[in-house]
This record gives sequence, structure tokens and C-alpha cells, in this order.
Amino acid sequence: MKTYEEGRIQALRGIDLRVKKGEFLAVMGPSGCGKSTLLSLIGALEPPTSGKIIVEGTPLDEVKDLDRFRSLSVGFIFQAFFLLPILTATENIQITMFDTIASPLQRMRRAEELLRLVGLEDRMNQLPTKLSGGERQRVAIARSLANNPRIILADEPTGNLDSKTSESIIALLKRINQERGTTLLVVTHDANVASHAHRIVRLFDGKIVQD
Amino acid sequence: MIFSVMILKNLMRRKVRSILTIVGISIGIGALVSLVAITQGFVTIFSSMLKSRGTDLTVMKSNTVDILTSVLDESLGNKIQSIEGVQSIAGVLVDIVTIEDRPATLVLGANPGEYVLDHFKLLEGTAIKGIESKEAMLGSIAASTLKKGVGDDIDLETDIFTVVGVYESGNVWEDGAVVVPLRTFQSLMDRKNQVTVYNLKLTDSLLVEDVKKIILSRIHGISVMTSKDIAETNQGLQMAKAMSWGTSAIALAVGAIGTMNTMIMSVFERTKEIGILRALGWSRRKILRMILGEAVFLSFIGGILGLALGTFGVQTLVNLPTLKGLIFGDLSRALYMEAMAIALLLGIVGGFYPAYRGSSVSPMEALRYE
Repeated sequence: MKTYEEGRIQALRGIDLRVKKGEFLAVMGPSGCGKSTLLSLIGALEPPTSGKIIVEGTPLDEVKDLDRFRSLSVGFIFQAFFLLPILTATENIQITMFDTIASPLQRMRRAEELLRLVGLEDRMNQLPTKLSGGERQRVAIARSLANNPRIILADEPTGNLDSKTSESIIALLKRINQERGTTLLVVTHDANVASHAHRIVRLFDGKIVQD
Repeated sequence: MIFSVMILKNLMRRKVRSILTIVGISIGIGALVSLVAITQGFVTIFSSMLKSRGTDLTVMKSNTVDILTSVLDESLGNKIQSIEGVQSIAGVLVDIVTIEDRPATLVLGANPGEYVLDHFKLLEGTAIKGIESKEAMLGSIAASTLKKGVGDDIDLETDIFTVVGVYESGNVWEDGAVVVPLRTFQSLMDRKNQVTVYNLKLTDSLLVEDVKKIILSRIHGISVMTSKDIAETNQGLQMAKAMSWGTSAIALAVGAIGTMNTMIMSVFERTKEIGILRALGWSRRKILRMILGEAVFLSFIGGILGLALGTFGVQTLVNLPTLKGLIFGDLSRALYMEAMAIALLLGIVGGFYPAYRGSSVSPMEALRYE
């Protein structure tokens, strides 16, 4: 369960959700049903009010360093991309690796490798303001893969993109899920996006109504 | 990319704000360097002046705020001379007078041939000879400032003196001074039979403390000090030191507040970004290091500029025609290091609270921030 304002707002209630390793799960539901809250709990951005989040057998409330957990185990992709405007594409990826890769040269090489993976080898040194929406989301996807996470949490990754670009982004995510075995949870309003998932979970008023 | 590059890029976002913060810090550090260098300069030149004269002890009136306010009767001279251990004694009348159109010039009235004038190296002409003559010797700095040389007349208060020699002693006060015969100066200033200080040379410099005790036991109403004592206990110097540190502290406080303001604004504007970094796995400590790093970088650059500004300020002041020969800037390595340490401390003090605040916001709160 997750509540806010001393229980006045119940964002999630009675959620019992199991996700298999390597699964591509789509989470759907109307605005305010708790989809994003669900992702934030799984990604250890905030703790549940009650209940447990268990990732590969480890309850998150037993993890001492949640920042390190997020760094190594979770990759986030946001609807608004959330790239740092003062950093280039490669630099936006490198900032996730300060504590995991000591050598600046190795960090740069890893960032370049990931940008090639997402098809942005010729946009490496561009600032986000010089990139299209689709390109920015590709950089965000590359950033989410920087530390080889076990889980990628994508909150409306195609929300700000046109249909054609959305297709390419979902195709990329699907490829990552298949090739790397990374568990992928995607929150979306878009039935087309959800149709690519192995499984769809629908939320309504903080509860799972369909799985 | 390295962490410090990110710090630099963050500061470059708001160039004008960063520059203004750096300027604020540099003014504070510049003020500190200038004021402390000048006051320390007084101590340095005073000590070196007495040392170069070969003076072991200086006798002045007790409880005087400043050496220039000391007034001793010449009858004391014979009493002091008779004390065992005292080899030579020289009474000097010191005052600051108007010469030509230079409002403040140090004038030393001394008897010709006394030991206190021995270390003056004559560059031109001769030393003063006549005990009551209207002869004058100019220090090299005074000669340059007054644009006078051997054979020229100078208007000293209400009287005309003839320059017979130009000397150099290596001490900025002495080189900026004018030396005239003691009797003539006493008469000119209406201070008959008065001297400002007695300089004593001892038969053995190691007897300093013993001779000091004897003099104080036999003569009352005087202070007897070594050159180190004078420099360190002079009330005027102590007041000047306190004022310089006090003024600098105000300037530095303004610099620290400016830094804190800049950093608080910066953190406020980057709340969402901080949330993104936390979501990406950055720890609170890393966020704190980044923000503090930005503040320290600003203060480091401000410190470097402040050192340059302070140095320029001191050089400008000591070369002003009205001040040349009266002040000396002691720009020591220790002062530079102290000033840089203070600059860095300003950065830490100014940046700590914003860094703490920035790192304490929860990731979700920060991500939701509009």
C-alpha cells in the first residue's frame, strides 16, 4: 500500500504483483490510478506505506544503500526524458557511471557504445536542445542501460512522441528486453505500446483490476 | 567526463551570477590582503629599522598610544648613559611635518655623528655636521618625491633648510624621511630639551633583559623595549591591526553571504535535476559534494583574483606620492596562504547550507517539483 498526506490519499491498495525475470510488463490505467507510484516504489524512489517490495529475492527495506541499488539495478526512463540540458548526449550517460566506472576514458567509451546501440552514433556530442524528441528518448534509454540494470522502469516513454517515433522507441525497448533479458516495466496509456508487452496489468483507483 | 567538469558546467549556466559572486569574494579577499599587508608592514619596517640601527633597547614615555606621542626630557639621557651595560645612547626627536607641498613627511632630529645615523649609506653629498645648522639629509624616497637634491633648499614648516646629502638605509620609513640636527628641530617645533625616544646600544646584546630591569628600577614613567616588543605591543599598531581585520571580516562576511545566496538560488532552480540525479543513483553525499564543489570553486577563483587585487592595491598605495615612504606592504607568502585558506573557507561556509538542503530533498519530491 502507498498513501500520502497521512492516509488521506490512497495511491495504491492491496497490490500483489509478481513480475518474472526478463518479462516485458505493461501497466495501464487512467490518470491518477497509481501507475507511476507503482514504478516509484519498485524503483526505490520512495518506500511503501505498508507491504514489501522484493527484487530478485531481496526485500528493498533490507537494502542499506538504496541509491546504490538504483544505480546498479534500476534504469529509469521518463516521459519528459529528463536529460540534463548542460550536458551532451555522452555526458548525460556518463553521469550515471561516476561511482561504477573509475576511468573517465572507460566511461566515455561505454557511453559511446550505448549511443551506437540506440542508433545515435552521429549525435554523441550534441546538447539535448539540439536533439529531436525521439533522439532525446533514445539518449534516455541509453542512459538507463549504463550500469547493466536488471530492471528498466519506463514511465510513459512515448508520451511526448509522435506515433512513428513511439513505434521505434518501443521496438528498441523490446529489442533490449529480448537481447539482454532485462525486465521491462512500461507505464503507458497507449494500447499500441502495451500490445508489444508479454503481459498487461490494468490499475484502477490504486488496485489491480486486470492481469 | 570527470566530476569537476560537471561542477564547472553547472557554474557556467548562470555566468553573470557566478562572475558577480567571484567579484564579491575577490573584493573581500583583496581588502584583507591590502589591509593586513599594510599593518603588518608597519611591524616589519619598525622592527627592521631598529635592527639596522644596531639598537638593542628603545626608551620612550610609558603608556603612550603611539611612539610619536612619546615625550622624554633630555635630562634622562645622562641617567641612562651611566647605567652599566649601556655603550651608546642617541636621543631622536621624531615628528610628521609638512615639507614643501607634501603634507606628511617623517622628520628625524638627531645629533650629527651619533650611532643611529651610521647605517645611512650616502648616495650624494655629505652627512649633516652642524649641531644647530639648517642642514638636512634626504632619504632616497623623500628626495625622489620632493624632487630635491644636494644644494636645493626645502621649506620645512616655517623654515628653509639646505639639502647637504641624500642617503639610503634600506628601510622604507627612513628612506622616506628627512634628517635634520636635533637642536634645530627642537627649536623649530618649540620642543626644547625634548626627544621622542632614546635608542640604546649595549656592550653585549645578550644583556638586554638585565639592562632593561636596571633602567626600569632606577627611572620611572618610561617604557624600555626591544624592537620586537615595540612592534608587538604598540597600541597604535594593535588598533590598526584590529581595524584591518575587522574591516576585512565585514567584507568577507558579505562575500560569504553572496556565495550562499548564489548557491541557494542555484539549488532552487535545479530541484528537479537533483531529483533526476537521485533517481539515477546519485547518493545524497554526491549531490552535497557537487553543490559544495561549486561553491568552493567560486571561492577559489575569487581568492586568486582577490590576491591579485590586494597585491595591486598595496603596490598602488605604497607608490602614491602622498604615502610613499610612510607605508610598506608586507606581502608575505604566509599572508597569501592565509588569505586563500579564508577564501576556501568562505566557499565551504557559504555553500554548506545550500548543499545540505539540496541533498536532503527526496527524489520523488524533486521529480514532482514544478
